[in-house]
Amino acid sequence: MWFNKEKIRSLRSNEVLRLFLKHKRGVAGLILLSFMLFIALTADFIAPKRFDEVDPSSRLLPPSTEHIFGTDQLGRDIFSRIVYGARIALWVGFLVVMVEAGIGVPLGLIAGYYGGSVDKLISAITDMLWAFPPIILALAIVTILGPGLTNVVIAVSIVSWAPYTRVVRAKTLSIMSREFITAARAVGESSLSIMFRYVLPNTLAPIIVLATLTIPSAILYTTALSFLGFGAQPPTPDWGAMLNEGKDYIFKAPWCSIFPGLFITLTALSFNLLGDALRDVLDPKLRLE
Amino acid sequence: MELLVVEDLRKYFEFKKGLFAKKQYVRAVDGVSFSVERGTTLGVVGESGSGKTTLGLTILRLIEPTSGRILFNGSDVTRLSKEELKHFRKSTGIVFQDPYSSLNPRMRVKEILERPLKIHSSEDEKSRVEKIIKTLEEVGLSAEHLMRYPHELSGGQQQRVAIARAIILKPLLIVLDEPTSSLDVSVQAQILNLLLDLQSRHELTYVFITHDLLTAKHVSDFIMVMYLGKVVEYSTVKEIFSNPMHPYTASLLSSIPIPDPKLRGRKRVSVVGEPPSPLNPPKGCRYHPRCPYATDICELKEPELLEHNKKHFVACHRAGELSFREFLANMDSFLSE
Amino acid sequence: MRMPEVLLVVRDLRICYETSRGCVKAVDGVSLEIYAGETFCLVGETGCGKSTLALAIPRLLPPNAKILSGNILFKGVDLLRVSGSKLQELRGKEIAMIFQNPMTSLNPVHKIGFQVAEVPVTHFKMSWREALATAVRQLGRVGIADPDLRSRDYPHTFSGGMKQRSMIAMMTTCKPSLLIADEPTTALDVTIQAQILKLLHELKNEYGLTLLLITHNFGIVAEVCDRVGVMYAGKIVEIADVTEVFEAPLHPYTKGLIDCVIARRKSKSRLNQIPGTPPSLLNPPSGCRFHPRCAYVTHKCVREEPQLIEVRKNHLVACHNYERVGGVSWSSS
Repeated sequence: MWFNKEKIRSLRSNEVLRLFLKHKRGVAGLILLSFMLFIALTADFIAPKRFDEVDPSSRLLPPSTEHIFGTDQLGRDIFSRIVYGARIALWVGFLVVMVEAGIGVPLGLIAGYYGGSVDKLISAITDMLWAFPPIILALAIVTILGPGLTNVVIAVSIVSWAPYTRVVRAKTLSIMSREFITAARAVGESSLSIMFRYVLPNTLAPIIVLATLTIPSAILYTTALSFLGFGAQPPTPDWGAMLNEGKDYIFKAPWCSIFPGLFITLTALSFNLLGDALRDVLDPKLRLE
Repeated sequence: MELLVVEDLRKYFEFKKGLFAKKQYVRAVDGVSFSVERGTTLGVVGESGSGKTTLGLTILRLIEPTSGRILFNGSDVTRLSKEELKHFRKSTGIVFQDPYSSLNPRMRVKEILERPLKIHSSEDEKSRVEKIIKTLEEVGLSAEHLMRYPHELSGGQQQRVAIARAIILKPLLIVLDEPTSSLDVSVQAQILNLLLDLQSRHELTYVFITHDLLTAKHVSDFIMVMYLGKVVEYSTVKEIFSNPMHPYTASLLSSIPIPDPKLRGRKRVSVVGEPPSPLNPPKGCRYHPRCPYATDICELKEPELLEHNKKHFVACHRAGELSFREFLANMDSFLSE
Repeated sequence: MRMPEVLLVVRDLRICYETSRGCVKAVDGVSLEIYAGETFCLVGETGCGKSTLALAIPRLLPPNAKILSGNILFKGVDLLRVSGSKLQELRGKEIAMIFQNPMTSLNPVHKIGFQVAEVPVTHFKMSWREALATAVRQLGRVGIADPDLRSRDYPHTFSGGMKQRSMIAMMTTCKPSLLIADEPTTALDVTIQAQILKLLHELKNEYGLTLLLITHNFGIVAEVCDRVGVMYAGKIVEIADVTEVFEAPLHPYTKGLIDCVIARRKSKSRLNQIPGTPPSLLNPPSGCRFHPRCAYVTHKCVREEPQLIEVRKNHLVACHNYERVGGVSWSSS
C-alpha cells in the first residue's frame, strides 16, 4: 500500500528528529535532561561551596539566599551537594546501562543467531535471573562485595541485563529470517561478522529505547541501595545517600530530604519521557519493518 | 563441461508437533538429480511447496543437505572445510526475489559491495572502490549510487545492487530465486536483459528459479519442473513447450495467463483441488490426487524419472501415452519465435 | 445497438496522501465509466494509483488519504457525499471488494462459516441459522470441498487459494452489483490463479456482476477483461476494449508495456524495455507525465498536459501524438 511504503522510507535520521520534536513530552524530557547534564557538567562553576565543606555553625539551616537549598546536619550546602550529586547520578546511571547492555546484548545476539540449544540455555538463564526480585538480589550481591558505589553499580547491572537479552534476541530472530542475512552468508561472511555487522546495527533502535527507559530504574536502584547504606560512603554527595542522611531530620529539616528526592524524581522522569518519545518515534518503523 | 552436478539430493526439515510426538519430516527436496553445463541456464519451475527455493539454497550450501552429492567444477562440495567453503562462496552468488529484503538496510551500497572484496581479496581501498564502480556500471548504476542506502533506491535499482553483489567476485555459478517476480513489468524486462547480457559477457551459469513459465522460457536452455520435492520433467526449453509429457507440466502451461486476448477461453488441462501438504505427500505418484489421467498404478507406485526421448526425462507411468496437443495447439503461435 | 447501462462513473477524482514530505498526488484527475455486466481491468505499475482509486470507491482509504475533489457516482448516488449509514448499507450488499492478500483479509479468530454468514445477517437481517446455511452453500459454490465441515474451521487451516475462495464467497453472498478485486491472484500459484479467475468469471455470469479488476499482469487482462484502463502516475492514459489495447494501443506507455511482455520472442533475445523509472508523485513532470520516458516526445508534451479524449470509437487516449503511436504491435500480425 502506498502509505506503508512511504512510512518505511521516510523514518530516517532527519525524519526521526522532526517527528521527535513534535512529541511534547519527549521535548520536555529532553529539556529536563539537558538541565541535569548542564548542572552536572558545570558543577565546579555553579556550586557556591565544596560538597564536603563542613560547617558545624550552620547546621540544618532552612533555604535562604546564602544556601538556596539549605544545609544538612553537618552544615554542608545542600545545593552544592545536589549539583555534584548530579554527576554521580548520571554517571552511575550511564555506567549501569553500559554494563547491562554489555552483558545482555551479546547474549541476545548469540541466542538469536545460533538458536537451538544455545538459545535454550541462554533463555533459561535469563528467565531465571529475571524471576528474582532485583532489589533483593542486588542487596545480596552488595552484601557480599561490600559497600561502595562501584559495587552498587556491579550489583545492579548483574541483576538487570535480562531485558536487553530478551529484546535483542527477539529482534535478532526476526532479522535472521530476512534475506540479507542469507546473502551475507552467500558472500562468505563469518558468523561473528554477521552478528556485529548485519544484525547488531538493525537492533540498535530497540536497544536505544530500552536503554533510555532503564536508566531511570538504574538510578532508582542505585539510590535505593545508597539509601540503605550500601552505596556511596560519606562524604560522597550521592542523592540516595543524602536521602538516607536526611531521614533522621525529616520533621526538623525536611529540605534535607525534599531536594535530593525531587532531583532523583526529575532525573528519572526526564529519561522516562525521553524514552517514551523515542519509542513512539522509532516503534512504528519497527512494527512496519 | 558440466559445472554443476547434483546427485540424489535430499533435504528434510524436522517438524516436531510436541515434546513426545513422533518426529515428522517435511521432505522439501526428495531425491533430485541433474546437471548444468557451463554458460547455460537451468530454469527450475514449480509452485509453492515444490521445493525449488530449498533446492537453490541447498546447492549453494546455504542450507545443509540431508543426503546426496553436489559436484561443483569437478570437486565434491557436499562436505567442505571452512577454507574450502570460503573458496566455494567466491565462485558462487545468489540473487533473491525481494530486493529490499536482500540488502542490509544499515549499509550503504559501497559497503554492501565492499564486503565480498574485503573477505576474499587483500587489495587496498583504492582498487576496491575502482572495482565497485566498474561493477556498478556493468549493472546499469553509477558512482553516484555509492553512498546511498537501500531505501533510497527504487526496486529495480535495489535488484541491480543485489546483482552487482553477486557478480563482483566474478563467480562461475549464480542461483537466482524469482529475481524479477517482485518487480514491475517494465523493470522486469530491464533486469532480464541485464542478466542475459551479463551471462554472455562473463560466461555465467544460472540456476533460475521461477514460477513464471514465460520468464523461464525466455532465459533458460533447459527446464526442470518440480512438484512436491521431486523432479517430474526435465528437458530443453523447446521440448517442454512443444511436447510436454507430464500432466503437471501441461497443466502449468495451460494455466499461464497468456497476454493475448485471442487465446481466451482456450481448452485447459484441468487441475483438481489444492496442492497437498508437504508433510504428508500422497502415496505413489505425488501428483495423482490432482491428475485427470491417474490410473491404479499411479496410486501405488512412485514413477521413476526416465529418459523418454533424447534429453527428455519424465517421471510418469503414462508418459508417452498422453498427448497434450489439443491444449497447446493455439498457444504455438504465441510462443513460437 | 443498445447503449450499455452505466453502473459507476468516476468524475475528475483527485486523491492525495499526506506524508511528512508533502501531499503525494496518488490520483490526479481521473475520470472513467464502468458499464453494468462488464469486466473492467485497471492496469498499471506500482504507484500509478490504481489501488487508491479502487479503495476510494467503497471509501476504504487509509486515514492519511485526502479526497480533494471529484465524484464517484454509483447507480447515480455520489459515494463521496453519501451518509455513513447509507455507505454501510451499500458496502457488502451492493459493492464488494476482495484484496490481494487473503491471509490478512480474513479474521483469524473467527470461523470461516461465521465470517461468511455475517454478511447476510448484517444486510438482510437473516437469522444466524439461515445465514450459516447460506454460507455453507456459498462456500460450496466457490469450490470448497466439504463446505459444511470446512465452514467450522479457522482461516489458518485453509490454503491461500481456499482463503481467497472464502473471501469470494463472503463478498458474493449478497449478490452485489459491483465486485472490486485488487490483485486477487497475485499471491497465488499459477494453477490456483487460473481456477480463481475461472470462478470469478462464472460468478459474474451467474449473478450478473460487474467486475472491476486491478492488476499489473497483462496475461490476466487478456484472459478475463472486456475493457481496459491504463494508469500512469496518477492519471488514466488510455481506455479501450481489450483487443484494441493489445492490437492497437495508442498511448506510448501502453505500447511500451505490451511490448515488454514476453511473447513471440526468440529465446534469450533482448526484450523491449521502457527506459527510466516512474516519476515522483510529489513533483510530477510538467505537461505529460510520461514525457521523460517517451520515444515520441515533442515540445508540446513538455508544455501541455494531454486530456483524455475519445479519438476512436470507444477508445480514449491522453496523448498529443497518438496518431504516430497508432496501432501496430506484435499481437496484430
